[in-house]
Amino acid sequence: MAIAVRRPMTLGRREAIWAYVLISPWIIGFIIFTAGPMVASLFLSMTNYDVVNPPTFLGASNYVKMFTQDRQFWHALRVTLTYAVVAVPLGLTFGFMLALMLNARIPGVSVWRTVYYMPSVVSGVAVAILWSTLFNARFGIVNWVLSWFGIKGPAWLSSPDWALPALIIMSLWGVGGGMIIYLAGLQGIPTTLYDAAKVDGANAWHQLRHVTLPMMTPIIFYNLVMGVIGTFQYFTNAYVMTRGGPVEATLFYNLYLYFNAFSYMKMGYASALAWVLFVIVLLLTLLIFRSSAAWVYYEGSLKR
Amino acid sequence: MTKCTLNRRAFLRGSAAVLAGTALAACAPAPAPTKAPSQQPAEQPKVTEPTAVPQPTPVAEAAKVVVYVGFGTGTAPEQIEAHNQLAKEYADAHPGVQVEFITVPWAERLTKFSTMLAGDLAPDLCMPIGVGGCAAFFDEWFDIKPLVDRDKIDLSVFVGRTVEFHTYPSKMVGLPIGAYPEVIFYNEDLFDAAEAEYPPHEFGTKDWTYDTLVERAKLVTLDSDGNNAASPSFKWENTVQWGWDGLSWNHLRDLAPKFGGTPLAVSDDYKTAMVNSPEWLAMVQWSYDTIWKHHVRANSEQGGMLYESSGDPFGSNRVGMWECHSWMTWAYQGWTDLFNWDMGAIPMGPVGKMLTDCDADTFVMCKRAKQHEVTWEVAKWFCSPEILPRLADIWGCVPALTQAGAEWKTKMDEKWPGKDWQVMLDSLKYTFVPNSESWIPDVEKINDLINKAWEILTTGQSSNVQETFTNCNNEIQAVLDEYWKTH
Repeated sequence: MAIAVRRPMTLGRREAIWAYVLISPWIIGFIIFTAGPMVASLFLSMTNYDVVNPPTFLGASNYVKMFTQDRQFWHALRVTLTYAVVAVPLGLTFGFMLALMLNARIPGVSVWRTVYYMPSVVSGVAVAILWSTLFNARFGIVNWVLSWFGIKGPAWLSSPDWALPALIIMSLWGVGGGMIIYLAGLQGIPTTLYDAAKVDGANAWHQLRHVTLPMMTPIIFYNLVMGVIGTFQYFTNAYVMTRGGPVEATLFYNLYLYFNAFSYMKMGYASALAWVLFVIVLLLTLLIFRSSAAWVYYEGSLKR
Repeated sequence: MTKCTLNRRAFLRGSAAVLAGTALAACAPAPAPTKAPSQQPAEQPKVTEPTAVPQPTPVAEAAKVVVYVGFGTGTAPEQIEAHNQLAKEYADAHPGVQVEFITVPWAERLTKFSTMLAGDLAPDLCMPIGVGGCAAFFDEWFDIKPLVDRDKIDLSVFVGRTVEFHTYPSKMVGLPIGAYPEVIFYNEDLFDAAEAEYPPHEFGTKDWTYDTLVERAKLVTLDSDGNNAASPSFKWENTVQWGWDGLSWNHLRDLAPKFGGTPLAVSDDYKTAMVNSPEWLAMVQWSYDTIWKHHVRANSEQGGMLYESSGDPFGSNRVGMWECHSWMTWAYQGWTDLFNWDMGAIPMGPVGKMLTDCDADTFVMCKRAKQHEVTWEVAKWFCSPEILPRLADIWGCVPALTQAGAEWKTKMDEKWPGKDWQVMLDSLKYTFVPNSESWIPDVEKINDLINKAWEILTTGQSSNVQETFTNCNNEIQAVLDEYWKTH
């Protein structure tokens, strides 16, 4: 009678099994709730699907229509890119400047940091309603302040010319989030670098230009990537405050996607829009990553 | 004894299998619906021939009828409480059947409802739902016509043409519960200050037309120096008070029939865009002129300046006349606190026939729900002469039963004395059909396109009505062409 001999498992194999067992809740959740729906949406993007009836396969028709016939697709893309080109650098600059100021040794600095960070934790819809009031042409604080300088403020959210700039101004509300990350980075810069720069005769500007900025580039890089991704996901404020108007002036890409999915019930087309958005964001992120070699400084990295 | 090992390849294979399964499950179609009645174009109104009466579904023990609230009014706390009270009354009177109201915020109504349908969790009833709400998910509603015929429901008891609002050539989607007639709300204080004559309360008088409305509105429209719009010294850039507003919360489709245009914005066979028809262009030109020529209505920017802080344009106390529906019930108290107001008749349009728009609320039964018979009994109870006026009261509308009109007027007189509530009842006599919210292909998309074209004009982006609406017509035609490719 043959007796099966069980070979003892190696330590590495046992560890691998335990590792898979321990991460399996996340993996299962990822497969079911993220990867599965993503694959499903890729399929749906090639169908005519209204949620309530079975999808019918169309092949690449949705994509062809999007690029060749859909004026609103290009318009929404243009609005989103315009917003990104202005709001992202503005947010990076303001956040960085704020962090520099709040990195100084001034009385009550903790309070100021809290005050500037606080807006970042307020929820999206509440912020949108608050800013709708601030931008109110008749009673809003924005026009009230402008009136001090003899400027008659516009009807911000009712004007096709001013609605998008209003949302860009509003984007500064969230710079506190970036500021905190910058602040952490600033406090991680060794003081010895500044001491050495002073010995070499560097003034404050030189220190900022040649010490602070290079040392902060990894943080700027991170905020840039997150900012670009965030602007392409811009939705709540435009949905609550303008619903894409007036005259499509604030028809952001995500808003157009939402309208297709849930107003026009074109879920297949909306899925196609979502995949194009994914590719755009992916390409932009790759571009930023590729450019990082030229301007991001990593201490300890080996330069070839 | 078999050896059981897990290597990376096996794990990845397993994961791939689960992923593929998940994706397939996610891609799986929703339960196939029964053949949806086609949107056969035909004259409105036309009631379909009775079809076979559906076989009664066996009523399960303690059946629960789920009522979806969110397509219109009904989401305020006091309304939710009143709905729950009705549910309790129904359960008390009908042991074994429970009614449960699910209330969804208006902004989430489409996502929530479509998710419920996709998840095979269709509610039994949706109410209140307007004509536009019915149009958005038209194929999802159960045809109640066979049940109406079987139970010999007397449709003559419903007010005006409200039954026709919910009756399509292919099916009847609901019975009228409430109506929201259109009237001219006017600010007596502003009229008195301008020494202008109030709008008449009688409909169809020959001297109350959209032209005379403009002339009267000019007297109430004032600039910051106090000059009215009829004065040569009037500076429209400095306007602080307007004589008329009619399209802030209404759609151009509401106004079109008064100028001879179709309220559908498309042809009767739903295949041709009609917003550049001479009648539509005349209507849009008239509307445009009220802003840029006669200056009696605020443009987009002026409106933004003055109306944003008010709950509604009329509530700004800077609008003399507001053409709107009676769903402003919630604002009456605010208006009364600020100024004296009343209601007047809708003017007669160039078409030469007295026509008014009317919004209406009904119930609809979901086709995919599984207990139509018991749901129908609940719906009939809601439409009974005892319950319907209560529902109308909860929703703030005029009850859709002719016999309930007098009692409604008495109640309104008590609550808001000094107003001529008869104007609202009279407005119901002139409603046009098809309704301005009736089903058309891709209704939401087409409405958005019309709104965008109108915004181009109200914001001053273009002054060319014909070009703007010809472009809009082309865009609508593209939507229609695409729709009919797949339907």
